[in-house]
Amino acid sequence: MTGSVVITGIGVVVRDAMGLDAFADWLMPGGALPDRPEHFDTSAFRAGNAYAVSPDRCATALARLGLAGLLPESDRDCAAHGLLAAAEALAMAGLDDAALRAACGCVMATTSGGMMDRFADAICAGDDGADYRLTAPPGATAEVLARQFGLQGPFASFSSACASSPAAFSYALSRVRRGDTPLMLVGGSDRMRAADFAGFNALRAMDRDSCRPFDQTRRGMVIGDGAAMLVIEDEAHALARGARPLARLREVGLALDAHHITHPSPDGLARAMRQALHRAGLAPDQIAYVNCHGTGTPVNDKTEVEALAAVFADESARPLISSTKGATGHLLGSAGAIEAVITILALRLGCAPAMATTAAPEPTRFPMPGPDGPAPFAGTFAMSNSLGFGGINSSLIFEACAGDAR
Amino acid sequence: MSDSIVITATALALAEQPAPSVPAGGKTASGAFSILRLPEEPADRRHTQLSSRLSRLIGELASRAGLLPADLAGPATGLVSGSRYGCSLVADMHRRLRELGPRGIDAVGFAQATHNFPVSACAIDYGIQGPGIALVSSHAAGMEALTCGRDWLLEGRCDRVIVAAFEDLEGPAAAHVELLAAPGAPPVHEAMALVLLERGSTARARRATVLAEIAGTAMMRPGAETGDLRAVAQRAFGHLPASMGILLAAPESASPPETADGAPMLVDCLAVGGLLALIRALDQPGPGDWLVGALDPRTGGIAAGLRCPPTACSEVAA
Repeated sequence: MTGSVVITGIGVVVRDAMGLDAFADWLMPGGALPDRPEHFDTSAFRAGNAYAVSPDRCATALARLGLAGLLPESDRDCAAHGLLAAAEALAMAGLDDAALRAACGCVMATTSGGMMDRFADAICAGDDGADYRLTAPPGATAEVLARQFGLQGPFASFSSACASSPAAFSYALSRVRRGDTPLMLVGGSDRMRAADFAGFNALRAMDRDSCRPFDQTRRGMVIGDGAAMLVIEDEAHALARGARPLARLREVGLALDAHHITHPSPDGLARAMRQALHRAGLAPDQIAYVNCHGTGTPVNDKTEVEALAAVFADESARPLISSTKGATGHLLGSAGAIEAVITILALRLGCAPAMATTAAPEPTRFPMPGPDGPAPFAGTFAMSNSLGFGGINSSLIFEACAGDAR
Repeated sequence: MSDSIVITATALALAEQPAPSVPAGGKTASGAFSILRLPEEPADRRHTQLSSRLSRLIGELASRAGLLPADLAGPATGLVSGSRYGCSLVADMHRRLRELGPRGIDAVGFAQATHNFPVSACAIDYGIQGPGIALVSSHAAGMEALTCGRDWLLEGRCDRVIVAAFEDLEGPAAAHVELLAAPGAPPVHEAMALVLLERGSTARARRATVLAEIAGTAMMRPGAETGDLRAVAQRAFGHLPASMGILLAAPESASPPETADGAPMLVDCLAVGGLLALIRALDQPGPGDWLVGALDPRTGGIAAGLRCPPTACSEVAA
C-alpha cells in the first residue's frame, strides 16, 4: 500500500444522463430545467418540480445490462440507480474478475435508503410485507449492490443527511489506506420519496421553478435523484493491474457545527475545509476550483460564501467556485457523490460547468462560471463541499492525474 | 510512534423486561416472538425520545470517564452512531403523509426525521464540533461506527470519540424485525450502547482510568472465517494471543461463532450487538484479551481485539 488512493472507475445516473460521458456532455453547457416527477403526484405541494430519473428509463437500462431479471422487483426499485451506476464504475475500473470483486468493499451513502416506506404501505394494507424482507432497512441498497456484484470486502452504509456521501468516502479511504482492502466501491444512490418532497416544502426550502445557486434572486432548492458510484483504489494496486487512474482522492475533512438543526454556520464548514487542506498538506492557494454545496437557498449560499471567504482569505487564494445543483437538482444523501464526480470531471477537462440558471450572481471575491458556457481554470487540486441537516460539514479534495482529458 | 486507542467509559441502556408503558402490541399475537422496548424517555421540544436518550447517556458516559460535559465541547470530540433501522421517525413521516397529506408534515418534525438527528441534536447539546456522522447499515453497524471512531483518532482528526449504537424499534421497523424472526427466535431487545474512545496520550494526560486498549480491528467477510476465528484474531491483535475470550454478536441466521468457556451470553439487539459484546467483555473480572464484534450473514462483520487491564494500563502509563 502506498497511501495514495486513486479513482479507477466512475458511474453516473441522473435524470438527463446515464453514463459518465453522456453526463459530461449534458452537464458542461449547463444542463436543463426541472420538471414534474413521473412516479408520484406533486400537485399538492407548493413547489412540485424535480430532477427525477424516469422509472421506465431506469428499468430499460437495467434490462439492457441484464440486471433486471436477476433481482426481484423490490430490489430493483430500492437500488436501481445504484446498480446502474455501479455496473458502469466496475466495468470502467476493469473489475470483471470475481476474485478482485470479492476483495472489493462497498460503502454507500443514502438519505432514507431502503424501502421502509413501501413496506409500511404494504403492512398497512394488510399484506405481510414479505416482498420487502431484504430491502426495507435503510442500508439495503448497499446490501443489494454487494450481493449483486459479489463484493465481499468492508461494508457500510451512511445516512447523514446531505453530507452522507463524504462520510462514505472518508470510511472507504480509511479502509484502503489502513490496508483492509486494496479497493472499494463507494458512492451514493437515492430514490426520490414523497416524504422528502413534503419535508423540504414544509421548510419552505424549495423553489417552485428552478434552483439558482448564488443568484441574487435565489429562492431555494429543487430535489433530484439518481446515483454516482466510484471505484477507489490503492494507486500501486491499480497500476500493477493496469488500471487507469482518473484522479486522486487526496483527503476528506469532517466537522460538526453544534449550532442549529437546520441553519448552517460558516464555522463548521470552514473547519472541514481547513482540516482537508491540512491533512492533504496543501495551502488554500493550491485549490483551483471549489464545487460548492450551493443549494440555492438564501441561507445556505450566504453561509457557504462566508466560510469560503474565511478559508481563502489570502488575496492569492481565489479559486473558481460553482454549484451544479441548478443542473442536477439536490440529490440529498447522494449529492456529495455526484458532485465528487463533477469535481473530477472539472479537473480532467480543466473547466467548471456553466451555471445556466444563475443569471445575476451575488457579488463575491470568487470567480464563478456564467450561464452561457463552462469556465476554464488552471490547477491540479479541486475541492467539493457538502453540508447536511444538523450541522454536518464535509470537504473532499481531489487531485488531477497526469495525461487527461476524459 | 503511533498513539494507542483506549476505552475510558461505557454506558448502556438495554431493554430487559417489557416496560409497563409498552403496549401489548410489542408482542406478536402468537406470543412466539417479542420485541422488548426501552421505557419512554422524557424529551423536550428540541429532542426526540431517541436523541434525548442519547443525550442522557452521553452525560453518564462523560461522568464515568471523569469528564465534565463542558470537556466535550469543541473540535477535539467526535460523535458517530450506528444502527440497523435508524430513527423510527423517518418511517413515521411517510405514515403521516399517507394519512394526512402534505399538511401532516411540519418543518420541525421533518428536521427531526433524519437518521443523523440524534448525533446532531447531541452535538448541539454538548457543543461537540469534531467529526460527526451516522451509519444506518448492517447488523454490524455498531462496530462500523467503532471503526469510524478509531479511524478518526488514528488519523488525528480529534482526541476523543463518542461511539453510539442504537435501535429504535417502533412502527414499521418493529414489524420488519418480526417479519424476519425465525420460528422460536429469542426476543429482540431495543438498546443503546455508548463507548468513549480516546487517544492513549489524551487519557494519560488527564490520568483517566483505562478500561481496555483496542489493539486493532479486523474485517470479516460474509459467510467466511466464522468457523476459524484465529485468522481474524491474528489481524485484530497483530498476533495470535495465547488465550483470549471471544464474544461476537450474530443474528440467528449467522453461523454460530466459537465462544470461550464461561463467556457471557449476548441477547439479540441488532446493530447494538457488537458494542454490547464489548461492554460485556469489559464487565468480566481480571485481565485478558478479548475478541469482540458483530457478524452479519449477508455483509460480513468487524471484530476488535481488546487488551484489558492491567496490560492496557501499564502500556498507557509507560
